[in-house]
Amino acid sequence: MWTLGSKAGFQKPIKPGSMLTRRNFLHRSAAASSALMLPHWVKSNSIFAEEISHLVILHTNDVHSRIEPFPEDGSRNAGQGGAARRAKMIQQIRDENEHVLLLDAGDIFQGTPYFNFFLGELEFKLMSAMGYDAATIGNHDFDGGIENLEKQLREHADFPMIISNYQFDDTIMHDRHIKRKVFQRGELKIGVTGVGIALEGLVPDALYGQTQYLDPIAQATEQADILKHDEKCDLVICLSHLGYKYNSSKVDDHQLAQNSRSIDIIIGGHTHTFMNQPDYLRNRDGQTVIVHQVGWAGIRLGRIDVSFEKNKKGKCVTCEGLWVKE
Amino acid sequence: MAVRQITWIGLVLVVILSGCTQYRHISRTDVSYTTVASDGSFMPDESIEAMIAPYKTQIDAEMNEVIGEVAKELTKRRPESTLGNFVGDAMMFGALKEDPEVDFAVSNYGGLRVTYLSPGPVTKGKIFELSPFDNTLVIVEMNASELDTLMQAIAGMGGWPISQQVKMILHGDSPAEYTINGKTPDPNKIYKVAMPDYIANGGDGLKYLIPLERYQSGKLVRDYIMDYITSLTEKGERVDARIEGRISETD
Repeated sequence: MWTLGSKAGFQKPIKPGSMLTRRNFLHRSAAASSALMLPHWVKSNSIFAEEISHLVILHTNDVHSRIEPFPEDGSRNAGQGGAARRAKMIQQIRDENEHVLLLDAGDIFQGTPYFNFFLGELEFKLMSAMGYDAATIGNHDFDGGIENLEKQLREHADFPMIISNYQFDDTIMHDRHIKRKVFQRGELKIGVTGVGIALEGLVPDALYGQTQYLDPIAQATEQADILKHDEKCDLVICLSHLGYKYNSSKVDDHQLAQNSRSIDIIIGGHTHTFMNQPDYLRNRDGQTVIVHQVGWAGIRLGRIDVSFEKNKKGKCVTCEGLWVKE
Repeated sequence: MAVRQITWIGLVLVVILSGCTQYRHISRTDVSYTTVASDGSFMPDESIEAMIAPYKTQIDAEMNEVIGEVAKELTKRRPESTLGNFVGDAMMFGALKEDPEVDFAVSNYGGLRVTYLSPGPVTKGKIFELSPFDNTLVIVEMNASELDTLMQAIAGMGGWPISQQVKMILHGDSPAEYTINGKTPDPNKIYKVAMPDYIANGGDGLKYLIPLERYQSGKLVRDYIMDYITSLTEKGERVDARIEGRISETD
């Protein structure tokens, strides 16, 4: 895991003309040391810092009731996806890693007859069985009406719906959602919040009722600030169903990343974007934010490995990395 | 002297603050994904399969019914596509049964939920995936000016699935040109346009349609599509469509 030379540890391209930072220097030294076949302990960066934890974040988005794999009909998605195989994959990762967080960024419902017949019941049952820790709400999760969403959550989901920018005060969902949650994994505290897309004009009014859409950047930042500063989380994740990136001024994950604060990772959805690598952006305080999304239909399972270290001298060693506490 | 004192106080604060803050930061992140594929690397989880089984039995009983045959792969694209043309014509087929004076049918792009239909037998289940929403077909009446608002909105969104009565040329940021049944819009005519109630109720930003006169078929768009396929099958025909310049772009 600490053979940094094998694969870019922090997969962010070095900007042309940028200074050789200490981090890059270390990174290159590590690469050099592995190339020279030095003893294992030299490759480790334990002389600079002490690793205290490793977290694996697994994520899906826009699964759209794809309970079974795409049929084996020779078409391009044939055999891909499917809850049973995803469950096996998740279990294997859990067997290999102590600290796992399993998240979904919305649009769990709608897309196969499983939803038309059973209105989301099986989707939530399977996610609960797989041990999903949390999800946020996508526009299609209202397709059976807000009452149906509440009913299916109440009866079949044992994970919370986390969303900060839907004001549900006058709806049946008012106590069936939370704005943020802290997950403890060993020594680590991971904060999760969530944001959803504007519903007006996208979802028929009758389906979302009195739900009020609030500014996602302001609401997510407010929750992330609490998670990072009051709750002292080591990492803050925002589940987003805003969409990856629009040509218009419509708010998207890039805008959320660049204009928010205290969010380290945005797990996106809605636009069904198959990202082959994540985007690394700077938030309004100049800190790095990771944006990732894994297409749709459960064809891919996203994975973000995060290693944390505690520096005894109180200085950052790998200064290009994400700062969690300052 | 005053400057020095301030500096000194500042230093003390830094020491105190750093003394009580635990420095823990992310040293490394790796982002990756795995494709969930049936290539044998992961076997399905049996307990999950057992949970699915009773639901699957109920669905399969109804959804595995073959209702027709697809001639070649039909795909969904902008501005015009084979899958879009098929759905446009299927909706028109249904709309004409409700009202023979309907001028054309249109669906929002997002109303089609699969990107392709594979060649070969097509099941009811596949049409549920193509059109999963419980949207009903409505026929909206509009004058030429209201029609133009709709057509320019369709152009602005890069083209929507539409029936064969429409020919439209997109001119980038300039207004699109179009004919309905070969004729330019008649300012004295009331047009009848078939569409999913999702659009007629203001979906995809078309709020201006909400107050317009409409006829509600009360029947799902999906059911009309299945009726259309069944009618083709009865005639011994297959599901097929081609690109024929319903919506095209100029440079």
